[in-house]
Amino acid sequence: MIEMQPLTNYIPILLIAVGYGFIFGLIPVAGVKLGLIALYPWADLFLNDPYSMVIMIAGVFVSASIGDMFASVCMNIPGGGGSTATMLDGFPMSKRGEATRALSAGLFGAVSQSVLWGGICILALPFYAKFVMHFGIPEMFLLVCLAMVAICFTGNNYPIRGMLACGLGVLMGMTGENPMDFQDYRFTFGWEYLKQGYQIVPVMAGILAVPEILEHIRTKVTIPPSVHNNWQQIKMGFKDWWRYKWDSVQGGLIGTVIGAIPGLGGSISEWLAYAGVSARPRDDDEYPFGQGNVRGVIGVEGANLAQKAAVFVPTILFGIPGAAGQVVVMSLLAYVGMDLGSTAVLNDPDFFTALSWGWFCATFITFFIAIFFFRWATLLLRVPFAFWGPALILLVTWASMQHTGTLDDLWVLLIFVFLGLCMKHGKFNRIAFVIGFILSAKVEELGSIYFQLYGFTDLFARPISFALVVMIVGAVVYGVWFNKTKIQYT
Amino acid sequence: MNKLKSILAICTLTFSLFATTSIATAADFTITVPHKPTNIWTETLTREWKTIIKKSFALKYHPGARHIPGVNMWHNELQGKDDSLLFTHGGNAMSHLLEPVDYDLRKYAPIGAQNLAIIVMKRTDVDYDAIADGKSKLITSYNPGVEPDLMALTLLFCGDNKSFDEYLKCYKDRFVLVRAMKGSERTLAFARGELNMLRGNPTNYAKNWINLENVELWFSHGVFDMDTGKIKEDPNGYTTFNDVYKEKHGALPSGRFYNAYALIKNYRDLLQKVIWTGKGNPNIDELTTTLSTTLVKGTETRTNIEARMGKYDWLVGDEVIVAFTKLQEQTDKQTLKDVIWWYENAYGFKTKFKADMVAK
Repeated sequence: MIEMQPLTNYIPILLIAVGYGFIFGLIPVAGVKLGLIALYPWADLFLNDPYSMVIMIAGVFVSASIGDMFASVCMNIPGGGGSTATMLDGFPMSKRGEATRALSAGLFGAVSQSVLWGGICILALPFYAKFVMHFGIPEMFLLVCLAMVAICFTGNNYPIRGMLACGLGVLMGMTGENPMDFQDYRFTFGWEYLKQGYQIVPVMAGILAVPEILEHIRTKVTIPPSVHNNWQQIKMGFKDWWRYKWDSVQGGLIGTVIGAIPGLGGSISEWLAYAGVSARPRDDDEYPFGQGNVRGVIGVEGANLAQKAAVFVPTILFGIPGAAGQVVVMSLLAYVGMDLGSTAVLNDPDFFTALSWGWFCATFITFFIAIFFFRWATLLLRVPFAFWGPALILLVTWASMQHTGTLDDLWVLLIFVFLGLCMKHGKFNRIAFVIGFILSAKVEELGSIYFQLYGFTDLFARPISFALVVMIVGAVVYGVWFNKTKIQYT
Repeated sequence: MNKLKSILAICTLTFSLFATTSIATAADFTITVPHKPTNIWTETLTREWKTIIKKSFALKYHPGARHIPGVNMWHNELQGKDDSLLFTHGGNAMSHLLEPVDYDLRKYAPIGAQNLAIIVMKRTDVDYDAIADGKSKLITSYNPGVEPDLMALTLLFCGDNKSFDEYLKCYKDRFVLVRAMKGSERTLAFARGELNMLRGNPTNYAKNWINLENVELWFSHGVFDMDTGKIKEDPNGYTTFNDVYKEKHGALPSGRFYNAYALIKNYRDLLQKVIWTGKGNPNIDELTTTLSTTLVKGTETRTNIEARMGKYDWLVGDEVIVAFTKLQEQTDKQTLKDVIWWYENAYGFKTKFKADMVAK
């Protein structure tokens, strides 16, 4: 049995983790999962002290998640999946010279909710098993439906094209193995590679990232200088967050609930958080949602780290990965001899100490690194894209080729770049496409499982599912008749 | 200008990081893993093995539906390379026997295998006697690899020495198969009571499932007996299917249906975790010798492996060939046709009868 060293001995590894994770967060479409996968070659270094791996993982999770925000706000390119919705209001703020204000508001939102909901998750561990038992197949199916409805009915200037894009995303998400019999394949056109379906990284890169990079290079986009300096904008961001702190808490709550339910995936939480905040426009909003409303950034970033903290709960307690990144976490920890969900880990107080210490210290350190980095991030906005656009495309290509490392990955990226450019030109909502793509497997699987195990009336016989049905109907009614929010994003 | 230099420096640093990663990833041996990018069994084995062989291993995930394309790719492109190894699991072994695949496990040199079992769990709040009597149904998930477990339960509920048509009717009257469920969803649905049977490898049981409330071990299928070619008790002392069957029916299971079950179960479990390389690879001796050393009982490496994977026997090099040969010798035409008939009629599984799989 290896004993944990004094916590101060882990400060160097924590600093490395935060720096390393932050770089992966900054790289568009890379993010937490790729950062963790890239740890494998060094996993041997942690064999003598598995607690250092726990701290490394916590550090990478926090810093990469915060780093995600920079690409979304400054480049209109999603980070590693954690800050896609941040683009909607973050980039319009950058375009009017308020990138630091957006980043600051988002950072305060993310960090505050990381501490608040991270702490609540730790305190709530003993009650978790009872909580999760209330979320059966009907509730999970309805939660996914609610996310789809919330996204579709968040106002858009091109609703029909948005729904078509979402439908196309769902169809492309169904490519590959038929989950009903595991032997039939759909939409593969004879391409063996597609039997596994499209991977999310090239889809995000091709649909969202590369078209934006090319657009920035082509139009030589220039960001006007702000009338406020860096420090003033940081203070404005803090005041924004404090003023709209309940939007932040609401985002954190949504992120925590979604993260704690295994298998739903993190992307739902940020969109539900965005839908939740954009459904309540206020008279004192400076700008409409989608045109640089700081509340959109605060709400989404509130969900970001809270969700990441919550997904650890089912992974630790049951060995059931709460999201895709958690599979890598389980594997890395298993490599150093810690089996999540096992009695050995559950009865090891040092494990929980290392994880919570790593999480909270990483949050604290990343906060200051991010504050320091604001200046540099916004300076990037001043540098012509022609300088670093090609490097960015190289990085995005590298990230896309981490799946198999073959030319097939590259072809898939090119397909989605082409599709992304067409959709951008045709003003189809590319976000709706990506969300349809991400959720298609869940909708199909949970829907089919639901109808195999339950009947229609069960929706109303279970209290939580009944409440979710009411929320879905309410979202549709509100979206069709009352929602005045019109997002410009295409 | 200074700011631009700083930005370029950051970019250079980032590229250096990736270049270092690429160099660090280069290894003496690459193991193609068709299952998933994170394979705990292979990671644990190679972690201990490389302390003996003093060479590095890299796992290369090659994805594909039902984990067949990765093995096909290795067969078609990599088996001739001296630094290339292959990991296969029980699903690959079943596909080798029953499906039209490119690969052929008989054509490679096995380096090592673990003679494993599959564990089946049940809930304490479900009346399984009522299911056996046809008064209610067993709800479980259908996923690749579950077929032998369903055959075992069909035997348990329906008794032995019936015709295959009778078994099929009995099976259809007693099972609800839920399709499209993934691993973690299955475990949770079982924990919540939405499913009333769960199956998986012994590591899952020993590490995770043992903590779940209202569930208990139903049986282990037992392991392949190297001497007799039959199924023997689980070395971890778990109750086996034969024990459960005997308790309910008063005698051990037998008959054509049981033979079909035993054949496919043994293919799945004996070849549940195997490392292969191409025949004629000059590194075979080094690989098998060092793996044998790694697996010597009582050594630190063996203890570490057993702590993660349970006390199951290991077969190295020629031992795998002997066991695999014994298994192939049991593959008679009638039994193989029975397996295929059952897979097609009970599960709707598309199969192919391969005459060359039948023992001469």
